[in-house]
Amino acid sequence: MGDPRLASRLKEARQAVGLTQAELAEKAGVSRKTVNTVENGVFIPSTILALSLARALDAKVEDLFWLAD
Amino acid sequence: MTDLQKVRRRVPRLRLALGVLAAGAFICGVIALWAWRVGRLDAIDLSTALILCLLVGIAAGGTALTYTPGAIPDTGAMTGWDHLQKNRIWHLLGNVIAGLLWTGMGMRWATQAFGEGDRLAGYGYAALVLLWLYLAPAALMGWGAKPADPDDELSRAFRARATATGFWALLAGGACAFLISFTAPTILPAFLPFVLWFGGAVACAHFVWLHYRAEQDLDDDG
Repeated sequence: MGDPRLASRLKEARQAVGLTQAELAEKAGVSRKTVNTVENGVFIPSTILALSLARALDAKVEDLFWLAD
Repeated sequence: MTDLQKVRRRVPRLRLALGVLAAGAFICGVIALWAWRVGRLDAIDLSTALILCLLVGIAAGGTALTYTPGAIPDTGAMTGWDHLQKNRIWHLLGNVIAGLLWTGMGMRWATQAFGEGDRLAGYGYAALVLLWLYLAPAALMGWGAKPADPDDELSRAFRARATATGFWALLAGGACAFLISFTAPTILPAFLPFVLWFGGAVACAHFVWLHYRAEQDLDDDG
């Protein structure tokens, strides 16, 4: 379900605002497993989930995810 | 309103439905005991029925307990979604085992009824087998039009993968049935329900495995 073309700094952004995976998951309305798999690049989030995560972290979605060259 | 809040709103209704299911399993167990005492069930049927009732009772009762107030916490190492999904994994496994027992028992009764010329009872037992085979996985895995309650995005992706695996298992089972039809066509009616069970069981098992592996991969910084 992962794709090497997708780069992410979700983990760094989450840690920067001092949230745990469970707290971010609760804010985004998903399970902790979902946050963990997105952070580890195992699962590619949908546009809606990416936007939800960005909103939960008060960040822009392109700051969290981008296409790797 | 988030999806989890919607689930919480449905909690009393779910708890009632599951409680009724658990009570139904208990009543069925009592009826099976009575049928055995009056000689309408043999020891094998009785023990299979009791194991089946026990599995259904534990699964439904366990789920009902999960939906008690405060059992879906907001924070902690795991979110409400995680609790719901973890609980469902055990129900799926229980459903797979109970489905096998029910298929074996139902087909035994159906074959017996057809052998005695009681076609109505035979079709009735066969219909009950099919009902379980379709309804239980559909309810547990959310194969209907409406997504299952404890599903978030990852869970839905897992379900899609598991359903594809179940489809291939069903094809493999169908191929076996096709080959068997040339050599032993008389056993096909008893064999086909197990093919259906196998497809659902493989899908459930794959779904459980994907969730289990994702849980094992959780980082420590949660």
